[in-house]
Amino acid sequence: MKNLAGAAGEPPPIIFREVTAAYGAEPVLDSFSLEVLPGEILTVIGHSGCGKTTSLKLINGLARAQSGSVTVFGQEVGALGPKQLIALRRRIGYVIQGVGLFPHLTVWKNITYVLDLLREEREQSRQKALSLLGLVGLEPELLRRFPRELSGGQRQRVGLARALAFSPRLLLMDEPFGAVDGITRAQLQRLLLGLHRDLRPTIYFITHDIGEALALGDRVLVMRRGRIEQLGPPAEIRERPASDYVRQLTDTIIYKK
Amino acid sequence: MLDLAREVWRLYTVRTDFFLSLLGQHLYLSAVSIAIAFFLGGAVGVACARNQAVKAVSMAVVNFLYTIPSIAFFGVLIAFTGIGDTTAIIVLSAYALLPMVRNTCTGISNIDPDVMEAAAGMGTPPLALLWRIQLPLALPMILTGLRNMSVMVVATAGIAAFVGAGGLGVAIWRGITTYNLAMAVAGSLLIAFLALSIDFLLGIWEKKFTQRWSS
Repeated sequence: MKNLAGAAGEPPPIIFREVTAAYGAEPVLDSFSLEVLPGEILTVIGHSGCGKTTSLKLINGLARAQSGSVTVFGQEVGALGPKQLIALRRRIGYVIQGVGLFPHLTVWKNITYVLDLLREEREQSRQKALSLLGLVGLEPELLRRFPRELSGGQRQRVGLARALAFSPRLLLMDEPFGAVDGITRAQLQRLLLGLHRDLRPTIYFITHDIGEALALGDRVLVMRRGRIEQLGPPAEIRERPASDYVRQLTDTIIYKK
Repeated sequence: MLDLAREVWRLYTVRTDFFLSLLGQHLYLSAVSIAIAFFLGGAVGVACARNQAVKAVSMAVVNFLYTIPSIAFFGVLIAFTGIGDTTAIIVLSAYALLPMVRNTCTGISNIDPDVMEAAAGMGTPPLALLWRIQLPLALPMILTGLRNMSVMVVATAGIAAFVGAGGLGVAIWRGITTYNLAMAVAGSLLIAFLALSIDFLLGIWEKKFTQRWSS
């Protein structure tokens, strides 16, 4: 197990306190409390509709809580005004399954999108884009391509480079590798672990694949019906499942192997 | 038939200055109307994409404007704005609003939700979202709207002569009232030629803007 505490004395970058959220009449998070530790990869797993995506969107303010509070970098997200929310989002790397690369911008301009919003100088932005491409294992020639000229795996890598462009201390990843083939997924997982080892950002990683959750997470959070079913290191989830639901989840991977 | 063609050609060569000046007026009326409809329709289209209530009301209004027969529209407006260019430009821009509003709104609404989510999640302020993401991605639709609308305006501007505005409609009007078929045909042909040229040129522009990144 890796060092969970991160830098000594650093406060948890994300704190959920008794958060309740609903989508229409349907409750999706129910008195949800959680502290994410600095520098850890927390993988979040559960069935569709268990509230995992909502929990992630509460962190960057794309969703709102009915009650309770979400604190990120010491700021209560629900209390932030539009400008402060924009500033917060620029400190958080965001990667989603559909990637959401901007189709009308080249790879270069996609990667430096946030830097361009901040009006970074051109040559500096190009250097940054090049070094980020290297970081995610892509050729410099791709810089002037458009997203539709890339493969699925390349798009995910560009999405990751874009999220890393402003050296965020926190990455939110919502099933980032859910739509690529098995080999590509394994490559992307290795890439992510390598980047995490070097840069040590905190990563809130959502997945529906228990194998991925156990392989990547320093801790694994199993969610069910808007509540925490179990939270612990991968070995604990595997060896001491807290409920039949968790056992069912981990059983699937044993059958696969 | 051949006589008619010969007579039309004779008109073009003998009365070149007359036709050139009509062509100039026609282009002026069309360009002003197109510009008004482009900016006004574009702005309303953006508002429609942001708010369902605005969309419902604006679409009802521009659809209604679009269905008024042009002759009736000109006729009614004369009572308020008199005869001349102003009336013509109001009517032409009003017609042209529908394609602009509809295409701008559709173009923005159809943007991939993942793209919008990524843009929001990375902290894009509303104005930057509009200029950097929404308008560029809606551009193919907007340019299609501009092209349809321009062709329509150039064609409809032929009727503007009936409310005392200038343009190639003057030749048609004069041809009809003096039983001079060649004169009417000469005006009509130029309108058709103008409309096709604009369609062609805007078509090239549309492709140039979008062929690389859109599938």
